[in-house]
Amino acid sequence: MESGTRTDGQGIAIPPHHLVQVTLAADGETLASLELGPAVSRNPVLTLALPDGIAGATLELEWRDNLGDSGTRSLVIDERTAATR
Amino acid sequence: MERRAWLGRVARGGLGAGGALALSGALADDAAPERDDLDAALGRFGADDAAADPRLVVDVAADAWSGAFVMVRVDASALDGVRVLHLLRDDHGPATIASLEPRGALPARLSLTIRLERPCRLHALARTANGWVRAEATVATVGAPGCG
Repeated sequence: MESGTRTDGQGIAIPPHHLVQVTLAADGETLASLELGPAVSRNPVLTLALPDGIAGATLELEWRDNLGDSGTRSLVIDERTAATR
Repeated sequence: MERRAWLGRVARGGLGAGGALALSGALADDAAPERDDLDAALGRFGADDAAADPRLVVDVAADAWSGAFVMVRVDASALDGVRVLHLLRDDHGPATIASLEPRGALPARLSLTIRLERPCRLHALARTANGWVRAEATVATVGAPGCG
């Protein structure tokens, strides 16, 4: 995550690079849409409170950054994880 | 969504009409962060008249040991029917940090790490069926600036 306000050792501006969109879905149903800007920290920590009854669901996370890169991750929420969320 | 089209939709009163479109364009163009000060963001969201509400909480340490990694929690779960939740900062550009559109049973609650270059106030805005509400918290000191 680069805010776009920093310069390198030669005084050249470092272009912004950060997440712009994150979408969280459970079993294909969207739970949350997030838009993020350059003020989010490097190596960001994002925490959402999952709804009740989520155990057994497959969570899918999609992300996109301001340079056009994107990716997805998924995991199954087991009973223990759901109980300790 | 292209910025001009988004502004047009706001002008027609379509902001927050539901679905993913409610969030689209919530953050200002990276190329012009100076245009996204707090007042501009409030105007863009149509939230100039947002009222303070104790059910909306912004939780942040008053003293940040490092501006590069400041943990913030925004909790609007005590409000009914939150359609969108924004986190903003003053005295920095761009002002808008993050926007969350919770769906279904997801609690309207978000924690995230942000960067701050200097002390400022953090503002939360939540849009419900009854309109906008707001809350704020102050970061009084920032140890090492986070190149906001």
